[in-house]
Amino acid sequence: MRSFLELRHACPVCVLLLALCFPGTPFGASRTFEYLCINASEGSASGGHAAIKFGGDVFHFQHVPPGLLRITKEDFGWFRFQYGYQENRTIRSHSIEVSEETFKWLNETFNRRLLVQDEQFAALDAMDGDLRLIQALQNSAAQRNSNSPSDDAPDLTLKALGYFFAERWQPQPARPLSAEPVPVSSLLQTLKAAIPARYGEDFLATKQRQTWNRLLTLKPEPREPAELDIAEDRFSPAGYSFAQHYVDLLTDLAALEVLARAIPPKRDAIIRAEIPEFRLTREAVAALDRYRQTLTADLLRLLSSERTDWGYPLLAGIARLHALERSIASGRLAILDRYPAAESTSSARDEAGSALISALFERTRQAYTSAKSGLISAQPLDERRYGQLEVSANLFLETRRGMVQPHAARLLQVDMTPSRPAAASLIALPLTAEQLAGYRQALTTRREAYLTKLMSLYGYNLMARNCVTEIFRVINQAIAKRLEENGEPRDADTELARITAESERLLGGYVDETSLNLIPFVSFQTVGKSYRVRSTEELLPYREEHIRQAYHQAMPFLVDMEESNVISSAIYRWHGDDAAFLFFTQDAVWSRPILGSFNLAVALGQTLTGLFALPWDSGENLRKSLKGVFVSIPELFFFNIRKGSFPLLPPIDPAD
Amino acid sequence: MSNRKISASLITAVFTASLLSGCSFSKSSESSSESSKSIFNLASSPLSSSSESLKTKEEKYEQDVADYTAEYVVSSSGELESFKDRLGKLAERHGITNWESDHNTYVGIGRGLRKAKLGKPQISAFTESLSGNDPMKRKAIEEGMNK
Repeated sequence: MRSFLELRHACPVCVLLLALCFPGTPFGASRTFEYLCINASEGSASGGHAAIKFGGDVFHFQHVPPGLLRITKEDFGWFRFQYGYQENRTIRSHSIEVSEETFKWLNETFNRRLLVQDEQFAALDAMDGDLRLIQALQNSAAQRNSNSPSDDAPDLTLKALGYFFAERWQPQPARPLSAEPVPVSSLLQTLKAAIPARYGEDFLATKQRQTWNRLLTLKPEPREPAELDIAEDRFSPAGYSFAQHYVDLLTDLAALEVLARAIPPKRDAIIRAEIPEFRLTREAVAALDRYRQTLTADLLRLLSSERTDWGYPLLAGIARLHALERSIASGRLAILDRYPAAESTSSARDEAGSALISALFERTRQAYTSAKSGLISAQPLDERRYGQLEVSANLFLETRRGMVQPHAARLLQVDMTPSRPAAASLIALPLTAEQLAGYRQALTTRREAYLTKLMSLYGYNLMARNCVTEIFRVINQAIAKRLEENGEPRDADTELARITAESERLLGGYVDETSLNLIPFVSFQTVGKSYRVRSTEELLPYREEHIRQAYHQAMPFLVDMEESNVISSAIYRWHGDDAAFLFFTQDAVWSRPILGSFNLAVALGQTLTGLFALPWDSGENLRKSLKGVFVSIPELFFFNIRKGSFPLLPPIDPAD
Repeated sequence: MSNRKISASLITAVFTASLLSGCSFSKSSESSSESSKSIFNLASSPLSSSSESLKTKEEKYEQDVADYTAEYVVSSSGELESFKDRLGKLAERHGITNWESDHNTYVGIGRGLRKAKLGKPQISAFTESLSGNDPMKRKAIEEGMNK
């Protein structure tokens, strides 16, 4: 048989006809994107959820306050961990075959929707931030006017300031060096000594004065009316808000003071450990030393940066410089503590069991070892790789602690960048109370109008516009726009027919965002019947995976009996996030009504407890019990919603 | 209404009611979710070589910078200060505090400028405003535009 390639040269018309008859065949490279359906469970999205996946990225819509649908992008591993493991839900997926061009176009469509919306929500957050700051400035002014300075004076939280100040930082326009002996960083004195040669003798004092004056000129100016001219497909920059500007300038002042007074980091800001894994080879020390020089040069350049928010990277960089110095001097790794709080909040060991914590420890040890070995690679160390070393070392030490002291682990709270915060007092602005009140009123009005506009664009409606319908709405709208861009005239009478035809061409079919497609499992069936589905897959939830593993170690019926209820289960531990229940009902259908009746009895029991506890727990138990009743009733009619969840599960890769 | 119809209606009502808590409600705060993700991403791929995973991270950062730059330069409004502010936040999400010293930032900006399909004068003006007199930054932007 002649190959397709030979046919292509021999008969272009035949080839074209074949391509039209068999779209997505080897002529055009084909790819697949996935439509995901997450099944029902207790908790948010009890009716199920839906998402769309391109490669490793998952886009899905969430219901956010105060009643908006917001698109989110997640890594698929993380998405599966959250829904499939922590929430213990089955994830089903249809792989839909499309051309390479269609894949890229559709991926770009959702990505653009994300960009546009993120900016719109950032604008709303900026207005909220401005309102909070204006309120804080008003409170501060009121306190000053009452001549009753108080320790409860309003303040702000500045990132990375916590590496240098334990108490609230009080900015002052020109603070003389204290007469009392205070610890002084020789490293910073050296850094400071390099400044006059580069920038002039009075640079730091001048910069401090200029930054202070700049801050005093800030006003919460109203934005242009065009701010309200937003649309689903129009990117409008959020703008640099008054509050953000204020915080940035305050952070700049804090960084300048740290530098000017050569304030060293607090003792607990830098972690060291006398363990073999933290020993450094000569090559590693040399690599860190080279990075220290690079970082020093970067910090000096930051002082002349035109970005307004240079203070935060300067604070973080100065803290890191001290950690690097200690590493180099001692031959043992010293790193910044990347956890924002010293107290532990996680009892992951209780949730996961010692075997899982051991596995997590082994994983973080490997990640740390890999990051540390990267020190001696040919590529010079940069912030990204040094940051990875910091995070991996922090995690390794924490899981190591968790092996010995289960409740000491702070597994889930590492920051993306060194951000240990501290409080800073406000600097009063030269604005009268009337001016502040006027700005606040204008901003409140603007915010309300903006929110109204957002609600009109993205208002959530369970029966008409939810996380499922929005996926198909985005797809169908994009197809309509594509037709328009291709020059097709808009005609209301034939628009649906043209969109349907184009959707069939691109995706193999058309799915509308109305009717029962608003229900996740119905939409999944519709997609299966309509789009060009190449394959369908089901990813097991956490509990099911572990039950199947247990079948290899014990007789299946014994495992099933043990795992049938919360009392004997070796996998599940009841916790406060789930309503009280006794039996798992997702495993067998025939017994659901009987087991459901027991669950309902437990839920009603919790309701009674909730009623008694009402004066003390603000209705918490009662709310949970009603949730338990709500998910138990369907069990009486052979429907299962509840799956049992694992919210404290340590982050593990479902692929492993 | 017959008993069968009543039962069917009841079942449908119960089932529909069970689906009423529709979409996933946004989980906790964005910052704690982001930090948990960082642990997950780190802890979940220890066996991939650090250079390989770093390349992926660099690529993702560049892509995000490119996408944002492309949208920003094409939009009719927006000040440079606003762009730098948002760029700073985007960089922090990728673990970078000092984006001005990061080569990939400027490569990403270059990719974004190419994606936006601006004219040469606009590209020059934007490049000038971001790179200033720094030839390394200019070169990185050009590298991105040619990628």
